[in-house]
Amino acid sequence: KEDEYFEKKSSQNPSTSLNDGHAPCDTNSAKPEKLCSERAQKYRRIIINFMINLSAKIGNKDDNTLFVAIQLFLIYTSKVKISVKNIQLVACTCMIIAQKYLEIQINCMQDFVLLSKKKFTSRCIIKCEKKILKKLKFKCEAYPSANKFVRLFCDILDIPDPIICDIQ
Amino acid sequence: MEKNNPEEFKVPFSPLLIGRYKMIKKIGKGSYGSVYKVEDIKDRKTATTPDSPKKYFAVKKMKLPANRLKIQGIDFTTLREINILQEIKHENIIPLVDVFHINRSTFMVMELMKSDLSKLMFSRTITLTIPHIKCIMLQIFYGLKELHKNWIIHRDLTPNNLLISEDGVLKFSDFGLSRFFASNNRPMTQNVVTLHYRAPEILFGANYYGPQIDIFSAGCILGGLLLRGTLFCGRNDIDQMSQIFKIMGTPSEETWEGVTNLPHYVEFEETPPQSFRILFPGIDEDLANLLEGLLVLDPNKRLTVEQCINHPFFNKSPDSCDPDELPMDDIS
Repeated sequence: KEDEYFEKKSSQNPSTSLNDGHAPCDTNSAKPEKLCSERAQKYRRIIINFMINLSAKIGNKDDNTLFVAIQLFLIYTSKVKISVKNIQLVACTCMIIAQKYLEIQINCMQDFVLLSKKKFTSRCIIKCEKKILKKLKFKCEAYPSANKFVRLFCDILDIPDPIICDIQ
Repeated sequence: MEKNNPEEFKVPFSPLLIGRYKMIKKIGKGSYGSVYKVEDIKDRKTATTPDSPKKYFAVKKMKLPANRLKIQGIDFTTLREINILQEIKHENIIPLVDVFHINRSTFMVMELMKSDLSKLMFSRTITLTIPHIKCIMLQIFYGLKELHKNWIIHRDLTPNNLLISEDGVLKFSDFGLSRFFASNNRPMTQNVVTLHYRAPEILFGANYYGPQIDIFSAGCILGGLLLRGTLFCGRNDIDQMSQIFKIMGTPSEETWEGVTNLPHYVEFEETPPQSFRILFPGIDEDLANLLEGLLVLDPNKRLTVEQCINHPFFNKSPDSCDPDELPMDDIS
């Protein structure tokens, strides 16, 4: 039942499936490249689109979760070269870390595997999680995220608080 | 020295963790996992003199999640604990030295502490005088002040989680249940704080609570220090509530605004509040006053940390003693 549900849901957003036709991800294979390079800008747009959709599907209660996840993703990819194949895995793992840190209800890893059309296994996620946390030195909220900056900016300039996150 | 004796590393009971920490013995166990005493070997190799003192640390090995089929990776309580400990540096909060992974377990390296407050509290041979109690409570309030200043609620303040160093300095530990409470309306879970130290608003199932729950726990600890036992020792939620109300009186709309709207509100048989001077004969008025202020049922009327630190009880003679004067000889 769950399979069908997620398949149906994710098929509504064809732009989110990033690496169709590729073999399941392996964290150590393929040519790595830094995502902050100019060539990778289009992947960045797609993957952030994917993360916004992911956040809506798994039902995050907190606005911050999505922004913290994106922030983690951007910082990690600016430090480490990752292959295009693994972008989705890293994005999902960042979402899991942000969710563990901020949410009350935590989705199980199998949800993320299904939502990304079984491109990787939950073991891949655990491996990736360790790498990310080690690289970021376990700092989840130490970096300012976009929504907090906008809130502060509006507060200082006396602009009424905008609705930042209205995807649900 | 270690170079000359490579066989030492092969002993199964003292393995090297990531080539740096040598396990010596197991010193504790809890719901979170187990704690080991370790020796920092890297530090000795870089030291110029071979006779430099050995450096010991405590390593907390976090337990794997109970359900092995449902793999979840690193536990979320561990993640939060590491994040919070990294952010705060204070004398009364345990410092985090290092974090590393081996296979699927997470290890946290922390300062080695001699004992915890519960051993001091339940010991039959130690006498705690008023200066000692003042010293302990002030250190608890200083730690809480730092936490609340950083918008963190500890949510598991019990004597077991208050460690004492060799010099008698109290340090907060076990931040697995802590969280930030800054300006957002996320509902909070009610499954926090050990039952005997749980505040009435959590027992009534309030979805939103604040740092006042830590103050209530501190009040329970102060009561425990005077009683040399647990102040409210309930067997379950309802029993716990009835024990609290037996002393503090049953709450009503007059004494606690909005209590009847809480999700798990139950009406209890009406009892009037008792005076702490009858419960603890021999304590002076200020101490009874402080205890009452800490244990007020309505969270909005409870004292704040600043009010506690500036309470007349702490300014009066006898003054609080120095931390190293705490009786520590008989506990190990």
